[in-house]
Amino acid sequence: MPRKNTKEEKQRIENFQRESKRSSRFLLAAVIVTVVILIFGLLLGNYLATSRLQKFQQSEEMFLVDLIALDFRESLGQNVCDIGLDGLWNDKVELGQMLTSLERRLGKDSPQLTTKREIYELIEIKIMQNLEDIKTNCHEDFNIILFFYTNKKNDQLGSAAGSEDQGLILDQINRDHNDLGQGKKVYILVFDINSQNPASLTLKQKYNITKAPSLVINGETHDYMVKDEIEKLL
Amino acid sequence: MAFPVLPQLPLWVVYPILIIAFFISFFYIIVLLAGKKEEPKAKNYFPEIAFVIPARDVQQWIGKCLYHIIKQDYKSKIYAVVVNDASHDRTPEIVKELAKKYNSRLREIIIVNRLKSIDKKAAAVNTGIRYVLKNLKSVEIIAPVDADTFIESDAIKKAMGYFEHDKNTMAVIGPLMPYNTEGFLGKMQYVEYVMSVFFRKLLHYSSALCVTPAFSIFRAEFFKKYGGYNENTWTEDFDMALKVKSKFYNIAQIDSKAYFVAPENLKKLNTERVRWAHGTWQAMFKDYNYMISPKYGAVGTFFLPVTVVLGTALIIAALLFLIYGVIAGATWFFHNLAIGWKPVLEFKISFFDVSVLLSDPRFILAAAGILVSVIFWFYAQNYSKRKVNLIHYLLFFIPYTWFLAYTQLEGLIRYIFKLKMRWGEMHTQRKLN
Repeated sequence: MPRKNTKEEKQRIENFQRESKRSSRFLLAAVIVTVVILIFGLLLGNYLATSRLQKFQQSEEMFLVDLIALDFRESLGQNVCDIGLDGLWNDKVELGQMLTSLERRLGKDSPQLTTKREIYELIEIKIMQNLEDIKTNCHEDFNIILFFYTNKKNDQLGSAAGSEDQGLILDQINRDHNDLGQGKKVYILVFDINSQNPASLTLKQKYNITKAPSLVINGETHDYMVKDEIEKLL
Repeated sequence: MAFPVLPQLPLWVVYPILIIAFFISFFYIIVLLAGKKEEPKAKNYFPEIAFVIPARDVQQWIGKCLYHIIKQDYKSKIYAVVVNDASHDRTPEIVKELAKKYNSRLREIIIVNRLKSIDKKAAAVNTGIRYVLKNLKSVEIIAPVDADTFIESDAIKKAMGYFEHDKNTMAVIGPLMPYNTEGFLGKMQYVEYVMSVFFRKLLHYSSALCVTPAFSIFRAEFFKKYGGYNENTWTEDFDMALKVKSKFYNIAQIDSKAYFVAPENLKKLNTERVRWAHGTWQAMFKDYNYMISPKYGAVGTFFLPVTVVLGTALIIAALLFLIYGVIAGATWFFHNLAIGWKPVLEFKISFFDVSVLLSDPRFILAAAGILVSVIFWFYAQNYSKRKVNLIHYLLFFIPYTWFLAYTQLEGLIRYIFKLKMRWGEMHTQRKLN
């Protein structure tokens, strides 16, 4: 430790501390600039994220318009077999990818996404109905898988980790069947088990879904299944 | 579960690292913009000076080192006191030959022999300092310089400007640049030193400079009052700088460079950097922890707590996060493989995905960080008057900075667990023994 200061040392310390005041101003300025840049970064990020949410909302609205138009076409007498769903399905997949991207950015529990996810699930239910119609009436041979998942950790309704694994297996099945053409075409529709939307609740009741992950493969309900088990049913 | 997985790191861990990195960077930018000081020129102060050169088995370099000292553009007497630290090679003979050749009225090479070396540079330097204080009473300036370091011809003249204009300046350092820049390590060390001499200059502008490396110049009175180098530390240079600052003196950096022989392989470089890290932690935890205080100006409020302690802790944390991230990623990879997922090499990214990625504040701040590092790259080249290849600069960040982070971690572990340390070979002919 420094010994007791002499007069000359006191003078030197005073000079040293005068110089230090200049450095303190630099430090203060650095703190201010850092805070400003951080706030700017956060605000800019929020602004850009909001604009992306708006873009997603627009896409969802356009999709809803297409679905309503589809309904009208059916009610006006056009045969569902003539309409086809490929274009609509591709748009739905794209919408799903946008939602996943936003979930990665804002978090799966983000309240900003709650309504958007509900609308997306309604879209899925509507598409599911159309797919079932086509399958029944047009004698087309494909598989419909409904996947009920949870994102919540420590969810009483099921396991988030198990849901993630099941999702990955379904991704692989989608790739094998739809991209690589290995086997019959598969349409996979995903639903949050915690969704309180009346339509989703009815869907869960219909298939007796009580936990996640759960699968409904061509109308039959199953618990978590490994890839080979699913493949046997397709 | 098919394969056990490690939980992934929460993404918020990036924020503390970014905040500290920004704070350090903006401090430097503000000093760069507002703190510049002109280098003072000496008009009347040209005292006698003694270089002290610790020399152990340095036959390859000692001649070049002495030549650069003798050829200094300086009008007063210069002594070159070579402390032969029990060399086994031709070092003493070479020094004697050079003394015969160069000794004159204004230049004098003196050899001081230590019969037994304790393998510590500080001990040899202290022998030289004691010799100067006892036998060369007219000497006012003492400049310890490593035997494998070669100084530019105007270094001493420039240093005298600082001593003449500020009586509180007790030490002046020369910016070090590697002499050997071949190979990957040579190039990385070159980039490292171009950057570090620039940052040291900024520390000098903010009175926070606290290093006295392989070429440093001191007022002799400092050694008379406070003694020489600490022989019980692994970083006697840093210890000496802290000693100077603890007595409320200033340290300045001249613009004339000194060139040193850099470690030429990873093992030597690792040994050197682990030693530095160990010595730094020793100084921070034990010998000079009291200096982390506003009483010691920007050294106590910025350099030691933020740059040395926090900056180093964060780079170690970043390294550990990286290692953990790679291991956790690998466990997920094998887990996913086990449940039937197949990896595919596909580049499918939409404009929407990219725009969402760009909206992440971490990405925005990282982009700002890249911009700041480009600014530093530009100004560091300007200051050192040396070009730095942009590719080398990128490689300096990855992987060289990770290597430096590792050496810090090893130094910290060795300090905490009191593990054995090595001085490492000097870049000399010791292997001839």
